[in-house]
Amino acid sequence: MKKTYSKILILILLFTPIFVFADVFNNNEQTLLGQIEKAKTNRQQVVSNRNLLSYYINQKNYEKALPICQKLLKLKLSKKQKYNLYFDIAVTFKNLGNVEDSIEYFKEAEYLYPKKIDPKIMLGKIYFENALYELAKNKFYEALQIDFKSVTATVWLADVFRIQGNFKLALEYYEKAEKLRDNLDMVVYLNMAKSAKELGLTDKAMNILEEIYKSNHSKDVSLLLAILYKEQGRFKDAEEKLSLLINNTNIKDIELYVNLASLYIFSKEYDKAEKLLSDFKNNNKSNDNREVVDLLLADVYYSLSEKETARELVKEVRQYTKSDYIKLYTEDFLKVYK
Amino acid sequence: MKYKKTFLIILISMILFFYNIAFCFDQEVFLQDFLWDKVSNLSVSQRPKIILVLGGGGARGFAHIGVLKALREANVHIDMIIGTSMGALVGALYCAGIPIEKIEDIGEKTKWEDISNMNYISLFKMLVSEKLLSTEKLEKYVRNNIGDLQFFQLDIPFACVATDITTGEKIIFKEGNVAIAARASATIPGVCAPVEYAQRYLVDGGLVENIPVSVAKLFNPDVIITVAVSADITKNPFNNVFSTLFQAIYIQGQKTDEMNLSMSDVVVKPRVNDISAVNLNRASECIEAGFIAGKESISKIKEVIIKKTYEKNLQ
Repeated sequence: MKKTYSKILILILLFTPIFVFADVFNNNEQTLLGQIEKAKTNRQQVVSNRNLLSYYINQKNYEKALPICQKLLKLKLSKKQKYNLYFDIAVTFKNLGNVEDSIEYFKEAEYLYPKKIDPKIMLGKIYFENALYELAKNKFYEALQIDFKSVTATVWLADVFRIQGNFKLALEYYEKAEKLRDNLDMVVYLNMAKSAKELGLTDKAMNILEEIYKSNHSKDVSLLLAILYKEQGRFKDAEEKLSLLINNTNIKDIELYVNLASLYIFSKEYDKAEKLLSDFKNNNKSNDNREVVDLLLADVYYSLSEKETARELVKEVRQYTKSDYIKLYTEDFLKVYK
Repeated sequence: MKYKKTFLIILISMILFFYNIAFCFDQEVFLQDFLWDKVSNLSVSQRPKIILVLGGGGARGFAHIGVLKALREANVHIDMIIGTSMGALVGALYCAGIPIEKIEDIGEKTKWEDISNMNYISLFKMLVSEKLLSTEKLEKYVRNNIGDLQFFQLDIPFACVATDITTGEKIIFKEGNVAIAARASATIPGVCAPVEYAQRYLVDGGLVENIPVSVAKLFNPDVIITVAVSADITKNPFNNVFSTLFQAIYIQGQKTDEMNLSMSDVVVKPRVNDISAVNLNRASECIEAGFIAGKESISKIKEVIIKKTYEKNLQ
């Protein structure tokens, strides 16, 4: 008997969350609208409208969320409710592409609770997205003054410095973030490695990437690592990284192919380069970035003493390319390939 | 609601992180890098001759250190450096083979008392008895770092510009003792006593050519990269003897500077306009500004060098 009761209790404990979530998911729009109609007191109106607003935001239906926000603004709200509402309005405006109003409402939320970090971080992110890097920097600094252990603010500040080309400070802040928390997002480590690379700290960049590579063989990691190996003259290691990725994925990623081809060219393995580029060209009929494939092939043909083939390919590129930059460069190629 | 807010923050963070590092393949950038790798591996005779011109600007000239760092990281090979004033000091150290990190360290630690006998007493004497300050300490400071090197002993060819204050002539140092030459190029007229050398009285080359591009032309370069740290005279404060004197010098030299900049293939302009020429305390900022400006110019520099390489090899 005891065992049966225990089993029933366990089942109830296990499935209760499902019933609760099921109830939330079953709160469809009609139900919520019905609740708003029935609401009589201010409190009931606030609660019912908030539920509907949350529903629309969860559904990413920001056009419908906005009028609810405006309705809620007219109701009597506590300070905390106002803060939450301003935040939601700001997010809604942001997703509707109205950056100005979004900023205004995040500022309102910030004004209500100046010691809260979230509005500052959100403002920083909006400024960052709109290339207002100095303003973004100030917001992230303010966030760190409130909570110097905020990993989010630290990483964002590092990103601002990186975008501004201040790789020294970028790396400093990425490293601070790493000390605050292990297992940061892979992207953060990638940006850390890129900053180290820009500072000429190639060994450091390679160490970071090799560490990530142990558990992540993604294109971004493999490619950057291969580029660093190439710069160090470790062509074989670079080739291994790129070949592995090319062989293991079905996607014909041009960046991988041209980087591997350039490796072969610098290692004077022209036949390999020619085969790789020709295979890519034959199996990929997309017109995007065709020029780089054809120009590398031309370089290979030139190196294989097939000057006429090289010349014809360059002429072809000059005819179809829309890039003035490439037209300018290939002018000299033609003279060289005579 | 709190959890939804957190969820939204996480979601937006993920989107922005992705945006942050999204690798949009730029074939033009790739091609430039590919060609640059090829050019970097060419022999000296196949590569274009690159002269780096380092302009004068007092303490702002610390930015040259940052630019040199950026150029080194991009593997830009410098065949010669021509400098005036602070450009001469930084250029002399670099061409003597002092590692850039050491030059950076020197720059960050330098104080006025290390390079001049400037103090309240000497300033008072200067005002009362017109006894100018000495730059002997500056020469000693340079010698402590590079020794008694002669120009022909330098790792990288170097030249610097001074002014003969008695005749107004431009004096180009290309031989002799490097420390003396750099000192002469950086001796502030009116404040510091001229350097007596080879029967001439020499002061800052900024009087005749603050950005010595026309001097660089004498050495038949294929590419001239100029680092300009001159003041923006509209923003230069002049609230003391030194800064007013510098302002007067800059106004005089502005036309020459503009002409010289127009003759350069690439101009790197570190954002140091708000830094006074006498403020040695802001060396780190200047170095950082130089590094950032150098990085920003790398693409253009590579483009010019690649083009000149083709031109040179097709002649």
